[in-house]
Amino acid sequence: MKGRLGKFGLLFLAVALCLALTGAGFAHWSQTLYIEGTVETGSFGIGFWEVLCSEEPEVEGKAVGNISCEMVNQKGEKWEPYPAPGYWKPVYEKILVTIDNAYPCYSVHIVHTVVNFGTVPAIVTSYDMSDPTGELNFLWTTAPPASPAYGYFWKDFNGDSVFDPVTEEVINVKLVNLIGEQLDPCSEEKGEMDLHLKQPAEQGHTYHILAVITGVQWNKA
Amino acid sequence: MAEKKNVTSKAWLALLVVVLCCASLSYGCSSQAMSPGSSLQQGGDKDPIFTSFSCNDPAGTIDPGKDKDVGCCTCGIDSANATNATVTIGNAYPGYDCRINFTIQNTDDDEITITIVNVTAPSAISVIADPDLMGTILQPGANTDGFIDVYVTDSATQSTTYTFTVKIDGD
Repeated sequence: MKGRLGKFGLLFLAVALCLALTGAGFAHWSQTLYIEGTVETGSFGIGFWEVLCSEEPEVEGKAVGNISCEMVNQKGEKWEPYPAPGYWKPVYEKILVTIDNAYPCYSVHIVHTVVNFGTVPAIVTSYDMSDPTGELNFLWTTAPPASPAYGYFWKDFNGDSVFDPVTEEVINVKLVNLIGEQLDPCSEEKGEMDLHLKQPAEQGHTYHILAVITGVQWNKA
Repeated sequence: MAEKKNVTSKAWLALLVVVLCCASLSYGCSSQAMSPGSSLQQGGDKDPIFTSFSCNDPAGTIDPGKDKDVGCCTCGIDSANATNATVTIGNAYPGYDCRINFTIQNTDDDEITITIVNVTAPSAISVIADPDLMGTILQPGANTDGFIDVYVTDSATQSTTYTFTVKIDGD
């Protein structure tokens, strides 16, 4: 090979190669255009901030039944201007309602505040209703997204796994408002829920009801 | 035999001279790189640059296609290097989208052709570059407009930072 090309041939090849590489370098842009992007996503979160419950006036002004409400499962916080600037108050995932010493026709009214503690608007889609003891089952009669929404808790007294509307409907539920409503970040709305005990409600019994609010990002509803 | 070798060497030498002449001609054409005030870096002033860069969802405006001002997009050209630009999208959410418009100018004395538009992005965000950019030929001093569309997909998670890059190159 060397003999065939000679010294000048090799030199020529080397120089040609260098020039070719130099040419290629010049043919391309020496710098590239770059766009660097960062996408920071916001957060989604709604929950209960306050809850107050009261019973409908009982017959003859007697105080027989008892109701208590509490919020459980802290899931976030919302800034509150009072009692002091920068005060953060917890937001909860669930409301637990406890009804004791009640009787048929006993009715309660639950007012609660729902807040959007995220950074994107939210729409309330429903409430997941359940009995944390597993004793009662819940069914909708007028399900969300209807508002008001209606449902009931029933107990399978005879163990046939089939709901009997006459003998097994224990507590009626009415979700008065909020379903379908939009909450902007840091905003709050008051919701109302009514419970009404039916004839099959048991004597000497304590009922527990758990309500979990559910929502979706406003542009996905 | 010696005479034949001598002739071959002369031929190679002549060819080398011709190649070097061509090379010097070529360098002569790329005068801008050697002109006074230009960078001594190879092709320093030859590159195309961004001359404008904007987004359709600046802070304080309703999100594109939505009814609320939730996310926002800020962007700009690097003041120290007009070949770089940055985009920052804040408080984004699944379904958020925006468009970034830009202009590229050919500051070279030679025609250039855009041959590479390469987007790198995680699956949580969709970044689509203007398909018409590819193959665009820019005469010296000429401009071309382009865009990139950014869309946050349903797989994006909240309170997360994603990054993407768009690389534009050519001959």
